[in-house]
Formats: sequence, structure tokens, C-alpha cells
Amino acid sequence: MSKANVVVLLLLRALLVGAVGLALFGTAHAQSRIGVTQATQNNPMGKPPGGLDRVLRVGTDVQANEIISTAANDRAHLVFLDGTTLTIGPSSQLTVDKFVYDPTTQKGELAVNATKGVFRVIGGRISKTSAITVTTPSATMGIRGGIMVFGVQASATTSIFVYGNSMTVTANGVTQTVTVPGLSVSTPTGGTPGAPTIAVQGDLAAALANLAGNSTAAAATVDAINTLVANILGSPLTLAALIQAIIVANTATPITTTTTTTNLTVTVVENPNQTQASPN
Amino acid sequence: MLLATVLVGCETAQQSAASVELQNKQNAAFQEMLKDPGNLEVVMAYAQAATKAGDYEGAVSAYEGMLVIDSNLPRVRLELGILYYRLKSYETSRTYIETALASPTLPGDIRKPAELLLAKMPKQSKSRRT
Repeated sequence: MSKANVVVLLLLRALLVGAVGLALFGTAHAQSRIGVTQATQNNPMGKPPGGLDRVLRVGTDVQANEIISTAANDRAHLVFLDGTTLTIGPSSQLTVDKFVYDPTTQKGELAVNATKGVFRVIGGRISKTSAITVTTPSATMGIRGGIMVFGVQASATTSIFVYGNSMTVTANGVTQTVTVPGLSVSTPTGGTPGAPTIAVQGDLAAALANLAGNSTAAAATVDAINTLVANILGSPLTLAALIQAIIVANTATPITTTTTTTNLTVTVVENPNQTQASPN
Repeated sequence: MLLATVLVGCETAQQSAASVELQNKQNAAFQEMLKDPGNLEVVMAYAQAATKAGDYEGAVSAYEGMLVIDSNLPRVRLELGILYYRLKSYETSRTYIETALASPTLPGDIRKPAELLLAKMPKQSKSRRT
């Protein structure tokens, strides 16, 4: 075999090995990608298993078992492959313990572990059939088909049920189940979850404010968003008609919801002109 | 009688087909958003598709992401207030509409509809221990 042929063969072999390596890497990459960073403020950090710390930028993939942390002025908004979103407020830390999703059946499992900070989960497809599980130092929460805001401190976890089928909060063998939006459960570390109470609007507003970024985006970005939203909202007349229609629809279909928890029964009649508590 | 049943059946099938089409459009918009999450037009298209498909949570998730970029977006807050109202999550809706109205940059001509929605907001009921 001539010297030239040997060189060609070696080159082909190198290319083949490289291609196989790339294919394998690509597969592994595809398998470990569970979502993407959709929005950030400042420099939220991610640490994939076995990887180095990296700043999460818009478009950065989120990987299974990734540890995500934020400093005092950071925020991150992640979208998972099933449509679940997770907003991570400042001074927070969280690990995505498990994400399994079958797009064909639209079923799967999502579990996260939050050690400190403030967060919001908006359930996607997975949460329609099984609860998203959130573990903190003081409680384990489950959110079904809905939205939950929660704050984690060393001394306690506070969970606010914003919307959905149900939110459960479990600690030390006691479970509280909430199905009425706007109720909150507080769990002291080492204790049991307290009875659901109406979330103080100031607390809810503070949590939502914490999850929203500071007003530091470039003027061009703000203008672009305002223009896009204005186009969707339409003219003031269109907006007024829409609001009138949803008020009428809401009035026409009052919904009565009864929630029973370990030691609480709440009946809510949802109607713009009528709200009352259960007499029992 | 038979004709009426057939007509109702056809109407239901048409509604179901329309619903599937809206969901397919939302799914397609979601895949686009995963590919290009920083593109605001793509994100907004997803929010719009989710709203049309009746998936208000999906739309909420898109708008909440925008507030992470910048909190001073009263139109986004108003849209969130409307979506949370549709979800019957009234306290959250109230919070967003109040903060939208508190912003001096909310255009005057959309304040009235926002104020109307706030005025019609059901109050959180009292709970009691048993």
C-alpha cells in the first residue's frame, strides 16, 4: 500500500471516529436537554452534572439534574419541553431532580428540589396528569394542572396556590390540600403544614414583584414588547369589548368549589356580585 | 328528530376539529419558541396561539417571562391581569391590574377598561376553621 493511500485511510478513519463521536455526543446532548432558558436578568448560574458552572443566557439549554442558582439581582425563566415554566427569583437555589416526558402521550414526571429563594411553577402537559413535585427543607409540595408561587427560607416554606386542580403540602406525615386559588400554606421547618389561609395580598404582590425583573432592560427592548402587546390587545375599543365579554361570561357561570383539607373546609362561590364562606 | 341529531353531531365534530387545529397551532408555536426563545415575536406568537386555544396558563407563562426581562411593562401586566381573571385567580389578577394602573406609562385610553375589570373583580371569600 502506498504512503498516500495509508494517509487517506488514516484520514478516513479519523473522520469516521469523529463522526461517531459527534453522533454519540449529539444523542447524549439531546437526551439530557430538558428545557431552555427563555428569559434572564443579570447572571443566573447553572451547573449541569459533571459540568462546569455557566451563566444561563437566553437560549441556553437546561439539562437534567442541573443546579440553578441566582445572586441578589438575578432572575431566570426556564421553559421545559412539556411547556412547564419555572421562574427563579433572586438569591435562590434549585436542582431539577427529575424530568421525564413523552411527547406522544404527553405524560411524564417533573421533580425539583428548592433549597432557598422564591419561585413560580406554571404547569405544562405533565401537570395535567401527574403532580409536579417540589421538595424544600421543610415540605414537599405537589401542584396539579396549575400555578404555584412559593418561598423557601431556612425557617419555613410558604406556598401560594394561584390556579389549578390542586396543591398539596406535606410534612411530617400531615398533608394539606388546597383547590381554591389565593390560599396559602406555611410550613415551619421541622413542623407540619399549617391550615390553608387566604394569602395576604401584600405577600402575593411581594412575591410577584420579586419574580419580575428590575426595570433595567434597554429602551428598544421595552418598546418592542410594548408594540407587540399593543398589537395583540388591539384598540382600546377592542380591549373594552373583550373585558366586557369576560365579565359577562364570568357572571353567567358562577362556580362553587369545596375544598376539604385535614382541618379546614372552605366553600367559595365565585361570582362578581356574591362571595360567601361555608357556615359549617 | 334524526336530522336534528345529525346536525348537532356535525356541529360538535366541527367544533372538535377547530379545537384540534388551534391546539396544533399552539404546539407548533411552542416548538418555534423552544428553537428561538429570545425572539420576542415568536414568544408573543406562542402567547397568542395559547390564548386562542384556551390554554391561558400557557399564555401566562410567556408573559411572565417578559416581566423577567423588565418589570415596567404595564401592558403586559394588564394582559396578565386579564388572563388570571379568566383563570378565576382573582387576587393575582387584582395585583397585576393594580400595578398596571399604577404605572404612569399605561396609555390613558386603556385605563378605563382596566378599571372596569378591577371594579368587577370578585373578592376572595373568607375561610374558616372547622
